[in-house]
Amino acid sequence: MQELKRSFADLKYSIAREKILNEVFDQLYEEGYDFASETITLFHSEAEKSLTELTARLDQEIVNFHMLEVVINRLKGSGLIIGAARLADACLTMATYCDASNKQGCVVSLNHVKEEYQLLMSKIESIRKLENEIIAAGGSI
Amino acid sequence: MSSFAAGELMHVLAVDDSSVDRTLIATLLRSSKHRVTTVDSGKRALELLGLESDVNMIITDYWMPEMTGYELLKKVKESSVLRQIPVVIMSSENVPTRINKCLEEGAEDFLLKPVRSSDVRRVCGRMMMR
Repeated sequence: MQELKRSFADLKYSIAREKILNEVFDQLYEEGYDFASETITLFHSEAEKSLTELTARLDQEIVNFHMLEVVINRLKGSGLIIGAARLADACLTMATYCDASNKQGCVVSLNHVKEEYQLLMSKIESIRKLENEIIAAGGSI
Repeated sequence: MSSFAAGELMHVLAVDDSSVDRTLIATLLRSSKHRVTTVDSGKRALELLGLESDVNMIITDYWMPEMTGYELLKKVKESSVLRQIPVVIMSSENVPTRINKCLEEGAEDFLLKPVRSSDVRRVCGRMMMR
């Protein structure tokens, strides 16, 4: 158990140091483990849909930059709710290109958003794996 | 608008196209024991406001497709039936011109996302003192 908790603390520390998740992520757990878990699951589901929509919209001949901006701001907002600071920053960059109706800028920045999202989800998956191991071993989060 | 006695709990209409944000704001409001109805668009908000007369406060995201929170605010304030309902705007962007525009249009407050429980308590507390 001690080993698990130490690994968990080390993981959280490295994620915070890399600014992938900030203190807001820990604050989610103040409302309860189930609430935090449900919020993260909702975020994941919504983010997947947003990224699919952003990709599809950028593939169009004529791009609706207003709608692109709405969707990227939605992703940014929900990212902020779980403390995904770097993802939110990447979304902000893309929102700036949307506002300027710069398609090439949007394409490049969307790729960066996707990279940050993949990195974020891999870290969250690692957190969840350790959480489950701790709980299975009789501990609590 | 339904008037309520100072100290009574409110019926809050939360408007946001993001399911994550709706879940969070509903949780924060319900933890203060307020009744919450959530909808995912300004259009649905107006439909509900036309049906239910007991909404005491609207809290809405700014960035939504089809109708922004600002446009919803304007429609509420233009309505003789709805204009007394206080409207709070939420956004993840700190844009002073946008904030001022909303406040000048009659918004009660402008909250930056991620909204905290302290923000909700502050805003609801002020409404309940009116």
